[in-house]
Amino acid sequence: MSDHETSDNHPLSWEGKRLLTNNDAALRKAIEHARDYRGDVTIYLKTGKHVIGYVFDHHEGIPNPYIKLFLANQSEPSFVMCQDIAKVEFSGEDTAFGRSWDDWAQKWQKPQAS
Amino acid sequence: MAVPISQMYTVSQYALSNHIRGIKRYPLVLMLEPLFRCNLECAGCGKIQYPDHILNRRLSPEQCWTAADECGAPIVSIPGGEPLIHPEMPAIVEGLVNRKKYVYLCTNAILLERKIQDYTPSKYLTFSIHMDGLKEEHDHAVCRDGVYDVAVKAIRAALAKGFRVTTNTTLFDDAEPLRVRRFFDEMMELGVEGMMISPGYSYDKAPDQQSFLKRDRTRSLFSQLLTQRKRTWQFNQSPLFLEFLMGKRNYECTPWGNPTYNIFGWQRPCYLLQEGYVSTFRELMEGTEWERYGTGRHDQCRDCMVHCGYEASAVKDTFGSWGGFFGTVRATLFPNAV
Repeated sequence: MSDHETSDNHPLSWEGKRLLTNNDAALRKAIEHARDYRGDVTIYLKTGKHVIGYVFDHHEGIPNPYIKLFLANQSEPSFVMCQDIAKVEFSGEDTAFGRSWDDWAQKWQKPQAS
Repeated sequence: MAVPISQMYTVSQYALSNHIRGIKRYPLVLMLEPLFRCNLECAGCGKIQYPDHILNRRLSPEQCWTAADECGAPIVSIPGGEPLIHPEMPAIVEGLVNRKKYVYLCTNAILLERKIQDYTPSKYLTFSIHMDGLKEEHDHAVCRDGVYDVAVKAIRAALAKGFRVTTNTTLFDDAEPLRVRRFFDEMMELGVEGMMISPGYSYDKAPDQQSFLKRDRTRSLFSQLLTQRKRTWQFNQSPLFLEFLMGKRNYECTPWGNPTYNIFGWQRPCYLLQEGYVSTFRELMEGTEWERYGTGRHDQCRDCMVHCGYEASAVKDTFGSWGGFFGTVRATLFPNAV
């Protein structure tokens, strides 16, 4: 697991990375990457607690911005206030990564060859 | 005539009444995504890359009907994911048909023969079968050998039972015009009511990023496909949209024309971009900064010419101006006129 203080160094996948949110810009970037990430993330709160889920929405431009996420074992979405977030960890598998066209073509060709 | 008169009448009446009442933004097709789980992993699809607990979520029939009522669009398209995986899909469809919505159930047809007895033929229900070309191209696009043959068999079975059947085809950069034209022949010979075609959209989550069409290439490809088209070919879409794809017309995107509702809520701003979600259709229509989207206004809209943004523009043109109306009549009766 590697820490990134900000999201300026954009890796091919965020899987396994952690983003600290020690200023407003870093917090906003971390949340945007979490919203764009096609895997579960672990949200560490300033209280010391954490939640793990799939972040699908970020409501900003309002007095108390928040994110919405689905936790694996809950049917209704959960809400986390952005100001409560201390760190974002891209802990789940990045389901959109590592499936290059070459991989797909190879996979498609295998049944043809056998 | 690819689209039945009753459907044309319903859509015309709906569009005209909105136009006459001066309603600037109204939806035409609700894109209802009751699940993201699919039984294929197509290379051009950016819809299904989610963790398992997201793929296992489903919209309930009540949620689907509420969305259709809220939205009010006369047509409901059900993509996904693969809708036939949803155990309550027959109930969802029945509820929509009871509301007199024209339902396009978009399926790869792998499960169609097994599930078809759960559905009742109706003028309101169309199975829209995903077919991306002749056997070789289709199996390649869906990354699984044999799917084309399964789909053809399912199309025959659905037609034999009296269902409306159309095809939906996404074309990528490697499309060969002559083979696509042969594909049109094959589909019409099968007896489908009509075909729907669209260029692919470059989802940033899709595995194949190299094969998406740029605008000039899109116009060139669709010109080659649709110039001197055969009288037997029927397209289940706006003739002006086809002219737009051929580069004969210019339209601005109408992102609110095909609003999308799925397990996350109403998706902002359109079927292809995921910039956020709201709880109600009203919030979507009134709270979205629509002027931010479209070619030249948003980076991810740059090369998009996809039906979910531009077919509604074409339909609005038909009912919003005499030029559009007569253009539609001409393009319908004389599709090969220059």
